[in-house]
Amino acid sequence: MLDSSRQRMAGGQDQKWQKDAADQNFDYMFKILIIGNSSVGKTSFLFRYADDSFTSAFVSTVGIDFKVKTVFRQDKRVKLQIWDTAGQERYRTITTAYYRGAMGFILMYDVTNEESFNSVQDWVTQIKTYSWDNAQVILVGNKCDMEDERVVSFERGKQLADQLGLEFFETSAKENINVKSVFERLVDIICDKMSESLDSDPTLVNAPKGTRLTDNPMPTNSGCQC
Amino acid sequence: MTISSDSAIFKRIFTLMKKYYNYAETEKCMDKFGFLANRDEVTQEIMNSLYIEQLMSELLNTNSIKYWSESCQSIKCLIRDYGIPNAIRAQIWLIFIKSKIGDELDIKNILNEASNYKDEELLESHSDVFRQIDLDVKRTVPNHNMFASDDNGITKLRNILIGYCICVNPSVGYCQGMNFIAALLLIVFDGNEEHSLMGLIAIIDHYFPPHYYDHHLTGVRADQMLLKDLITCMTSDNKLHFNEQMLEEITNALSLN
Repeated sequence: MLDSSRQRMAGGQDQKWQKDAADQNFDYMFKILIIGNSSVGKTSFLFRYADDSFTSAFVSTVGIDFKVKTVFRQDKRVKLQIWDTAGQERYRTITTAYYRGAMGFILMYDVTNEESFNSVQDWVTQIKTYSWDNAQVILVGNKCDMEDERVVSFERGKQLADQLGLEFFETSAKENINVKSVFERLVDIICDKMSESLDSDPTLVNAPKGTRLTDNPMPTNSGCQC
Repeated sequence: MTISSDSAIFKRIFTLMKKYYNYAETEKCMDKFGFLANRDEVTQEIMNSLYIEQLMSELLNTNSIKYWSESCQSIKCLIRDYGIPNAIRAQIWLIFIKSKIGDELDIKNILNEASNYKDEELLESHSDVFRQIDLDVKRTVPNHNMFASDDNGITKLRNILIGYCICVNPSVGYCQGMNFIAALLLIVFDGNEEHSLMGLIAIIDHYFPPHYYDHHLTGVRADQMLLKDLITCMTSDNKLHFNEQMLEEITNALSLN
């Protein structure tokens, strides 16, 4: 029993790793983090996007985990390296180390949980402290299918997002509402920010390579200095 | 590793072998997954695991840790290759657990306290711990029978975690990850709460390095650095060249999952 569960876990990691290492076929690589309080639905959100699956039997994330997905956006192949983080405060010492070099954040709260909404400001402070200035952030109110248990209205979410200068979506990983839109929008605003930076500082084209697993030649520069 | 030629043990093993695996010489030879296999290898494997089982039951009767560590090098080798046989895993673990934690703690009482938490003041001062544990017990091993529905496996898991995090070691408190260890112990000990709590205490307070799950995750982070160094060593003469930051990120994720 112990062996088989260990093998199952190790098998999953191996696959991810191999897939990640082998797939060199992309123009850009964006590192994205999903953050927010415990149990707001970060893992479900990622699984819905990357595997188009949902189960109510997800396990709590210990520390940090990741998935990789390649998308086409504005005629470019964009490889997304999406990190799923533990919500428990104790793991922040570990998860904040991943903020460095992240180009986008999905900051998630649960519309049925007031406390997770009240923590949004805290998470924004974490991003400001540990990530680079140009990181793009989208505020996401998840579990919007649970209308009966909702305690945070769409308006309050939108208002907070406006105050903080963030884009805003309400989503449901369970019902597959707006999950893809959040990622597409995030990729778009990262691309926009990137070309803005390139326009204002052409030397960035020759900037050091972005986060990569191997030293093989890059198809195209990641264009982002982190 | 060669099998002992002691004929008495050998005979008993052979009897057991026939009984458990219904292994007949004339039949096709399969490994435990049902693949056709080399007869000699399968025989060797079955013999080894039966040999461990045999020796261990004998050792269990002597119940002496000293005997284990001093005279059982051959068993150590076998266990490293084949693991502790499932049938006696719980007994073996319990011997080691008891040798670590002694009998100063009143486990029954701790569990009793944990299951009857009514003290408002304590509830208030440990509200974060209770909240996180209550979030996690439902999503620890939801695909296992014992924890699938609102069954008493979940209640047991909660009692064990509260017992450790509030009664036994409040300075460490609750850290995600403990839930998986506690659930695995409950599975191995077939739902026995007391043995599982003792196991959790033994693992975190005695087998792990100090401060493993403390508020700075000192031990966890030491583990991560060690794993990263090991991978760097093992891949240094390899064609794989890792970007330093990426390597750190991946090994950190691996060490926790």
